[in-house]
Amino acid sequence: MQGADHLIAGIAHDMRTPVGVIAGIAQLMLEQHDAQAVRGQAERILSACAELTAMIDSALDLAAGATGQIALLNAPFSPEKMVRSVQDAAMELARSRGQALNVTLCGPCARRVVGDVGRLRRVLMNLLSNAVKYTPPGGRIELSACAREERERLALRFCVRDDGMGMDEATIARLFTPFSRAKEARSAGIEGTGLGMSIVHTLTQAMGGAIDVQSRPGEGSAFTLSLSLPLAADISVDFRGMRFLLAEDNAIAADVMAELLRERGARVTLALDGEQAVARFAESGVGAFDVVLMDMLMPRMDGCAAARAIRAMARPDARRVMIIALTGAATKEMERQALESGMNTRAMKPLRMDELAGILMGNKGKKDKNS
Amino acid sequence: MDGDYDNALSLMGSEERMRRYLLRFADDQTAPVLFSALSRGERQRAFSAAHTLKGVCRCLGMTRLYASSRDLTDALRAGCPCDVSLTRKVHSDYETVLRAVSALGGER
Repeated sequence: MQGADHLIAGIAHDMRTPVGVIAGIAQLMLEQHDAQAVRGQAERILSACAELTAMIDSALDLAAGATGQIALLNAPFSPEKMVRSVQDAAMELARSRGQALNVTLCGPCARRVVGDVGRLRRVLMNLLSNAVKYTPPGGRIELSACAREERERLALRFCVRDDGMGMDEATIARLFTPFSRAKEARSAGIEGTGLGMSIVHTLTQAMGGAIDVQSRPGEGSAFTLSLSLPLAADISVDFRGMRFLLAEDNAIAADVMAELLRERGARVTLALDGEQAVARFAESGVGAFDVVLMDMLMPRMDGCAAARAIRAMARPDARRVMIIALTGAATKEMERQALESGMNTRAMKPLRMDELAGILMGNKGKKDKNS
Repeated sequence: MDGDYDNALSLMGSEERMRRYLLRFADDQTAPVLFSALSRGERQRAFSAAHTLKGVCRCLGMTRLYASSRDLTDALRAGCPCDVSLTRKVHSDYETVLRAVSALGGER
């Protein structure tokens, strides 16, 4: 019972900060009439809500983990894409503390596997945010991901290494116990309730993985997560009969994508910038394109402006053609910009054909549901 | 040249295609445009070329050149003063790629 009391106290303590932020900003919004300022405040509310949601998810996982009842949400995903998305989020954290974050991948990390990508991501984010917390400004943090094929499985090894304050043996021994924090961390005024590592341990166990820690006081820490996941069956990708408008200023990337699409039966029209994409769409007959693949950053006219221009055209297919943003970084801001400009969704570059097929199938599912 | 062969192959689907695009990269003008823009202090043009180079490297699995061109892109995007060491790193990684691709061409 003492554990449950501690859990409730720890979570409640952490929840007070974002709840306070939400209440304070809502009060400001009531007094604010400037639309731009209200927008900024709404964004801060969303960010505080995301923080709260992550805490609630962690609390639920900890509670379920105590009784061995974590229900994994297994689905195909690419470890490489997951690492890139973690990298983008952690980069912001590291930069805010003046630290360098280096990410390396080795082996077939792009092979799709079946696993709980959300929880794996949470484990890595916890390890990285911990590294950021316990490493002084100017320090270095490294994330490496290595994959090796073993028959029908992919053996994955993620390592988060920092050159921060490190830990003694006694701290390592109680590291995965809830609410255990090094006294050096408390005296250094580092925030946290000591739940992060316990969540890492619980989720790693639930996924059938193992975690190892190497650390010495003053010499940094290295956390290694090992996990073996089944390889996902190849999705048969067939784009026969589909017509794509591909807007991409990078000629090599455009030609690779066009070749891969054509090989799968698609018809592809190329545009080398946003202006050309708008012109190609405008000069085409109604319904000439099923999908527009729109790079976000292009010369003359960027992807968002081009998407807006297409959506604003006075023709029946302008509002219903599917527009997919192609981005090199998986940031929330990029996603917001893409959706606000009228694009349906976004995909990471380089675009993989199985991922595109998954997006199109998902969209078809939505259309079927709505019809 | 420190590349991620497995990843690039799984993306491109065939060794023949990978080889073809790597050879094409050797003739691509993005990197020369980047170096020229940097030497002339044309920041916007340099940013655009660095961003393009980063994308091509990711597509072709050239991890080391991808990492250095990404760092340079980030620095140019942030408006930081041009760090000579970053530029040198991109240059040196690019030369390494060219040598490797040239050897690949010689195998034909």
